[in-house]
Amino acid sequence: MDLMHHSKEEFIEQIAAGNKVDTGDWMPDDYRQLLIKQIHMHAISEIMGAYPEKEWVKYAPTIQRKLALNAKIQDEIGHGHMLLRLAEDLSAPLGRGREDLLHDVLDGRVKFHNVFHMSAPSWADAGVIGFLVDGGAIITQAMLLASSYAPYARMLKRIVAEESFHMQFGESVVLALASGTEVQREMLQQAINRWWPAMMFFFGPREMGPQSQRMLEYRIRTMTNEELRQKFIARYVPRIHALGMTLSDHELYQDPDPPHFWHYTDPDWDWFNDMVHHNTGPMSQARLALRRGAQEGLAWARHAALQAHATIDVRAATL
Amino acid sequence: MSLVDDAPIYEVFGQRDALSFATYVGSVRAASLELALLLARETYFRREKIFDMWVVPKESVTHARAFDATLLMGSMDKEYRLPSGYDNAPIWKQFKAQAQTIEEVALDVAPPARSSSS
Repeated sequence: MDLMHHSKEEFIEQIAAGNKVDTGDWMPDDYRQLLIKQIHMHAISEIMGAYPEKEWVKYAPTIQRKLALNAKIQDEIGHGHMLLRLAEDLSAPLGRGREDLLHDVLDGRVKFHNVFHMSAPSWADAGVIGFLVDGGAIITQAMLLASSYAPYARMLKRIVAEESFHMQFGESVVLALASGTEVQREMLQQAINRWWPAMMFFFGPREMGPQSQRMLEYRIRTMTNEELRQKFIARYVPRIHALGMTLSDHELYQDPDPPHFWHYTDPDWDWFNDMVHHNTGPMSQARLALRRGAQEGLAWARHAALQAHATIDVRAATL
Repeated sequence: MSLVDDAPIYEVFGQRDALSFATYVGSVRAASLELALLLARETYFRREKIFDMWVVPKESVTHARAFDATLLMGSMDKEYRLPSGYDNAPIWKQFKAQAQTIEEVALDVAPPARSSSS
């Protein structure tokens, strides 16, 4: 988009017409701030999302499952880095770089998804994370493919393509447990019980705040929290029931009349909100400690690499 | 002996539309970045409509093939990393449920889910 006249009204008109915004383009300050908030949080969540799964690599039941889980963790970290590059480009005019953006999570200046504050006590949790958490994340990310910010939409094309494997992996683990012994089926049921309320929170409050409304107006996103949650419920409730599993939400039912709204019990909004805003979840501090170890404990290595001019000699090696 | 030195080489990338990735198409020789852009347009994009074009000085491009161990080995089995490595559909069928694909999810949430701001 090339805007000679830098007016916000014109910008909104351009976006409404379906035009996309790219990295170096002029954009209103609040558009930039909203993008940074969204993409920064997304990037950090990808990285924090690797920790619950990492716990299960050494206990995964077969070598294939270990390989797959490791591959998934590598993907999450990779997605974090791709998204950080976008957040950095947006933050550069504000004088903030990658080290700042990574450090923010340690200072509580950026949130990460509620699901990554939770504990994953059984192998079934590793499967259900792939099944439900990735399933929910895929719905959100697929919606963002239509984002008005082109670098985000482009990067999500790559990310969503890779998530396709995460989805199949998670379902494969869940299907294996559902086809297994009573003990395995009970383990799966317990994991579903643990993750369902967290997934209801995952999509955000029923009524969106002013910032989220603004993101709709700017077409950074194209669907409301409730629209996304409804898509999730409609997709996953029948599958969970088909597996012979139950959901303990007694208010869960679908309106027989159009638009066939799914009713559900509210998650404990206060408990989850406190968790994401103040890192008070069951595993928040333990995982932040791991992140701090990587970020602060290895700062000397990043510094040494720069000092040693450890980058490869480009000219000598050009084909 | 030539009268004038050869101009520097620029590698040319084209981006079809705002949401596609820039793709390598070839190279040009030009005396400056601006001239390289002009030549690139005349050489590679005379007919098709293009959203954006990049020119990069050849010496700025580093090839992985010049270094050992930077490229993946082709012979390794990476099936566990691919959606095709999982055959969940028959098992979903046993449970009388439909298998789902990511393409189908993307279609489910693609616009026009809403026409404009709420």
